[in-house]
Amino acid sequence: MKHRGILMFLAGIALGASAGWVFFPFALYTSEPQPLQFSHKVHTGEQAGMTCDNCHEFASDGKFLGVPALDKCAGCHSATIGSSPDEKRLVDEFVTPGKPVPWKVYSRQPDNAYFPHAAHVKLAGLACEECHGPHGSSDSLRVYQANRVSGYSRDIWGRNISGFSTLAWEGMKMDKCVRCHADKGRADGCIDCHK
Amino acid sequence: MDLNRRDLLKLAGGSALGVILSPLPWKLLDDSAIWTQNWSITPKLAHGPVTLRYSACTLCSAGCALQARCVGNVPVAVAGVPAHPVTRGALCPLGLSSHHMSRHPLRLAGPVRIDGTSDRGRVEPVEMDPTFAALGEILRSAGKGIGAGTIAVLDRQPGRALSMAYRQFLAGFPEAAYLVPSHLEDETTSALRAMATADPGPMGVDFTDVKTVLSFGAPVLDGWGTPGAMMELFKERRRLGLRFIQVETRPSRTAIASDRWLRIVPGTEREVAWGIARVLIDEKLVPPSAIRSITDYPLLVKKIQEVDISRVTTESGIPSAEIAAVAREISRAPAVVIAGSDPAGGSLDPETRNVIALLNLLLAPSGSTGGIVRRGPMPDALKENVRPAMSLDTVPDHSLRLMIVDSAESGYVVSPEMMRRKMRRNDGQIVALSSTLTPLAAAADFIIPVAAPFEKLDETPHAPSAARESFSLSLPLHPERPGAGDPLSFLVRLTAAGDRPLPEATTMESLLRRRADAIQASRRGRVYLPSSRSTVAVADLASAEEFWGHLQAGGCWMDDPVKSPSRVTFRFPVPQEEQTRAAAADGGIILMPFGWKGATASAHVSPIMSKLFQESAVRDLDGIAVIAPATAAAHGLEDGMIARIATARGKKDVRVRCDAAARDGVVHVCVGPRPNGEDTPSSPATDELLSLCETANDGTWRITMATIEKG
Repeated sequence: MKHRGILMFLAGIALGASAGWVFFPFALYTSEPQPLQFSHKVHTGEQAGMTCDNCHEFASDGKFLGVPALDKCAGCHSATIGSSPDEKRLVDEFVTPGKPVPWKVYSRQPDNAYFPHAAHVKLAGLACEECHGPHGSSDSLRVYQANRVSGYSRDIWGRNISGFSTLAWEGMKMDKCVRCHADKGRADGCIDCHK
Repeated sequence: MDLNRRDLLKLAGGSALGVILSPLPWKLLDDSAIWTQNWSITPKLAHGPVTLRYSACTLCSAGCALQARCVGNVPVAVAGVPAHPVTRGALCPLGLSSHHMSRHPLRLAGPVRIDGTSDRGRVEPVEMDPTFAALGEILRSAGKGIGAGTIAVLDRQPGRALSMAYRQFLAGFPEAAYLVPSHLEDETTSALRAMATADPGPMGVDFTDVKTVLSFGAPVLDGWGTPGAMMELFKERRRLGLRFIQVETRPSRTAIASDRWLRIVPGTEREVAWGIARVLIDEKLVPPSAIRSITDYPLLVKKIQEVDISRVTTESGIPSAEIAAVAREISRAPAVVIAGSDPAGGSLDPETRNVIALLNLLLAPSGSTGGIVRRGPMPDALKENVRPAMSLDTVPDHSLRLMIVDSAESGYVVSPEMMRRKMRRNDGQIVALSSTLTPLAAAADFIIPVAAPFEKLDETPHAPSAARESFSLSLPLHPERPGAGDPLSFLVRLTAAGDRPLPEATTMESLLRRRADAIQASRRGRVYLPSSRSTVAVADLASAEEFWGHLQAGGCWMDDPVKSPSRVTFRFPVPQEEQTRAAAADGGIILMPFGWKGATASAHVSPIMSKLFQESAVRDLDGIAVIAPATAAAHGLEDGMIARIATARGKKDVRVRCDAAARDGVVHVCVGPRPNGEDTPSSPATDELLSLCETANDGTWRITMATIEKG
């Protein structure tokens, strides 16, 4: 067959590329559902009208408390107030026995990265969506996908296996932080973030 | 289509290229790097509640209070304690990283023997039980009587409760010595106490209302005493009308920061002090109250009037007008005169210390505030059944059978050569207690590992010349490390091995508790509580338990000033002989070692500070030779060049740093801080620089004649 060699080579390229672009993400990431489904939209929409910081608070010393503790949910959901099966599970399996919900945190950073929310939100005035995207208006929680090798959430790298994205809020790796700092005229040294 | 081998190879090649053009290999590389950060052997940051705990640094005699920010009970950062009435919130770079010392790369895991037969010394692990058995045998034979050899303990932080335990232990031997270095920042107060006709008890330096501080070589603005208090005085000096005068050859930080610096010819401190005394006498600047406090005052005046000011000027290089100006200044308003030691240069000789101390007597009698003051003794100070303290340099050479070197650091060098000189030639043994393989410990025959800072309960050191006693606890911040006990546990085990009576207190907690109980029972003083920044009088405390509780929460006890101290008279020991001074030979140079407190050849600094020192020029490093440009040029040297210094005892290469403020004909060579990497656990480096220096019979090594040339 004419040009057989070239065709085999091109077929190889296609095979390798497919493995890298298509199949590799499936192999790399595990998928685990969150322990409960949670609708940000219900809580922030017209029904409840809450804002991000109603639950994702700062402590009096400025420390960001992150994912709210159980007592924040129990403040309203000490008993079921809706008809959602997940709300019922929240009350029965977590609030009533006082057991914290083992949420999987999409944006967990390594210990060697020091990120103060207070400096970015209070001082720099960044909106939550700038880094966390439309998460606050989501109607359900995405499946948590963890990198089998590094252990971190897929959200840190970004949905696209290449790491590139047209969405400003996708990805939470260091290069993104550095680029944003540079865009905003912040000249920081290593020790500012890696204390 | 039949596939042949060539087809498969092309397919494989294409696949490889396709994979390379995909994110797979690059993403895996990136993720693998992150994966290595998660290995179990990678140290992890602590997680847990954030708490603030109080403790105190024990790396030198200053004993600065500190607060440690802890995460999950792991100290992650330390800082000074603001508003602390004793230490004033100060903490030096060594203290700021003191919590790292438990992980020092030269940390000792077990007892070692130093084989000193090779040039660098070799470290060999030994077993604890046979070591204690051998030491016990020495104690048993020492206890039998005269001639069996003197047992000694070298204590670089005397005055602690542990110091009392050592002295009680030594009291049980017919021949024993409780040794302290000759330079502990109490040179002046010790000299005055020795001159008193009746023992006035401990004395200190009180800076209240003092208008002039005249220091002969003491680094008063660079770590001396309680550094935080001294820096606060310096910061407020304009408002207080306080001036600093430094008499010193080297352009030290204190000299340069002082209001007046008398840059003397090396070794002429005594001459300058006599010159100042002569002016005080001639111009009748000695107040009547001072005259009354000195017995044999007419004899003293006669001696002082023999001082030839012009000869003082010639020998010291200080114009007579300047000497007179200093004398007038210190006589005008309350002043204090301090004799000091360079941390690595060693102390002044005893006669010089006496003359400098004399200046205080000529200015004013001792009181309870301002100047030299009497200090209330610690309530549990034992007078009986303890060995009196003696200076290391006064011990007869080759007389000691066993010397135990306590682990506490004063911040000042102890000459390893001086230590070894005191040991019996054939069977003298030095046992050092240390958490790391320090150069001083490496001069011993055996090293017994003890706890590093913040691993065990300890007593906070306090400045030897403090105006008032203080007491606080250096509370543990780290977990205990197996095999690294405190020095008291070593003493307990040693006494058991030697069939000696056990100490009255066998744990540090019980030892320190006894001291605390004695303080509480005295009802003297006040306790500062750092958590509330308040003080409470000891007399208002309900019980000893309450006092102990305050101490365990970081509290600090401060004694009251001595009220209405009784009048003390002094007799000055008039020297009979003239001092002869050696001069540098033609082409020679005077070598003067120097260092800075806490980071001399006796100790290590933490790894991070070792790195910072080597990467910055903030402090001179070990082996830097400071020399005047003209002197350098005369010897064919330039700034940054390697030079070789030679004395009668050996040679060493140094790096030249030209300083126009240095005196011609003198080279000041820094001893420490040493790069941690120079020593290895199996081969500790020796102090080449100090070994070049001549140690005189009076224990001084400040000045050595040397030559210098290109290296």
